[in-house]
Amino acid sequence: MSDPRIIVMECLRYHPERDTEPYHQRFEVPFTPEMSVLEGLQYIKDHLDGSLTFRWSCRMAVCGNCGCMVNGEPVLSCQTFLRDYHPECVRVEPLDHFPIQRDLAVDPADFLDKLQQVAPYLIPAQDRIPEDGPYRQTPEQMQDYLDTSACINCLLCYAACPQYGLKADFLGPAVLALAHRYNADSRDAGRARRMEVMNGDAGVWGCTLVGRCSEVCPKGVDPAGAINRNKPAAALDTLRRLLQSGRTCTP
Amino acid sequence: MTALRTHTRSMKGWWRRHPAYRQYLLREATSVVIGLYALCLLWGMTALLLGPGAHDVWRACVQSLPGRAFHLLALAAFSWHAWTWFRLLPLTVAPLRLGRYRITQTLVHRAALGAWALASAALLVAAAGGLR
Repeated sequence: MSDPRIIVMECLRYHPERDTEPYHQRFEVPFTPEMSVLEGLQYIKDHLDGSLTFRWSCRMAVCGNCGCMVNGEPVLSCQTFLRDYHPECVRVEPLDHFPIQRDLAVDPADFLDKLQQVAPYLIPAQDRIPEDGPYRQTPEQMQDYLDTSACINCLLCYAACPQYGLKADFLGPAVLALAHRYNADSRDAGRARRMEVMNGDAGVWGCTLVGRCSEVCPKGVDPAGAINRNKPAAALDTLRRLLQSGRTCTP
Repeated sequence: MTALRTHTRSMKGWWRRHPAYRQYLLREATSVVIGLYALCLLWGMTALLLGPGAHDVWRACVQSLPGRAFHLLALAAFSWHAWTWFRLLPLTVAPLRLGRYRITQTLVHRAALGAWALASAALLVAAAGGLR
């Protein structure tokens, strides 16, 4: 292993019981070429300041827990390497557009509430029992939703979306991408239920196609595409509802 | 249980945080110039209806130095808007297939640019024919 070099890590600190405003604190961290930003944070916690708070779990870009802003970019800290920033300073901050709970940990409650609204699970047309056997699906049918099924709910797309920051009730990229993922699944019959939410004020029309959400996704999901491909469907759904309501209103 | 106190950061100056945000705002701002150009064309068509005098006034206005500068600005705005919009176009169309072959986003982008180039060339040829 090569000799460790020193890099300055500047972390946003905020302890609600002590601080009225967040502030930045600098730490000098010895690092080796294979060390990630997450490992740098772990070094700070283990050796320099045990009160530094941040989330992490798998260390292999699967759990989506360690998302944070590194030099203004939303990234997973476990797959971002300190060597790429040295000799410059690395500024680590909580994900943009979310309330800060403590230091680098944000409150994801708003996202979780919105995720429930779109029923992100298969809703079959008829109840099935194990004796019915497995669902059958062709590879082509699977391709229709496979890319969006890679979402790990890391929230990087929310930190990259200014519309979510500006319009608090906007469902946001990952929720709408996951709604699309189930709508596009041939085994699912829950489109009408999801469409009510997707076509509402907080749904697909809140997206103005900034496009950054798709650029920052660590799993190659394309939320901007998923949202905007649903706009024609949402418009047709509105038209269908208008025609139906006109029919029911006619005496 | 009492709710935890959290800190929410301001969105003030959000467009300064990333070049992509500034490019997005520039793309949206070009719509204003395009809207103004549509009004200019509408004015010209109305002038055509009103008679030769009104049409001559309109022509004099668009051929003046500020009129020519406005046309150059509109050309730049149209070009930037079209280029950036066509780059995003694949995001707005459902995945396309030709038999078993899946049409890629790059192909959709290039096809849109090609159609734009063809339409512009046809318009230029038609305009050149009209001038002769």
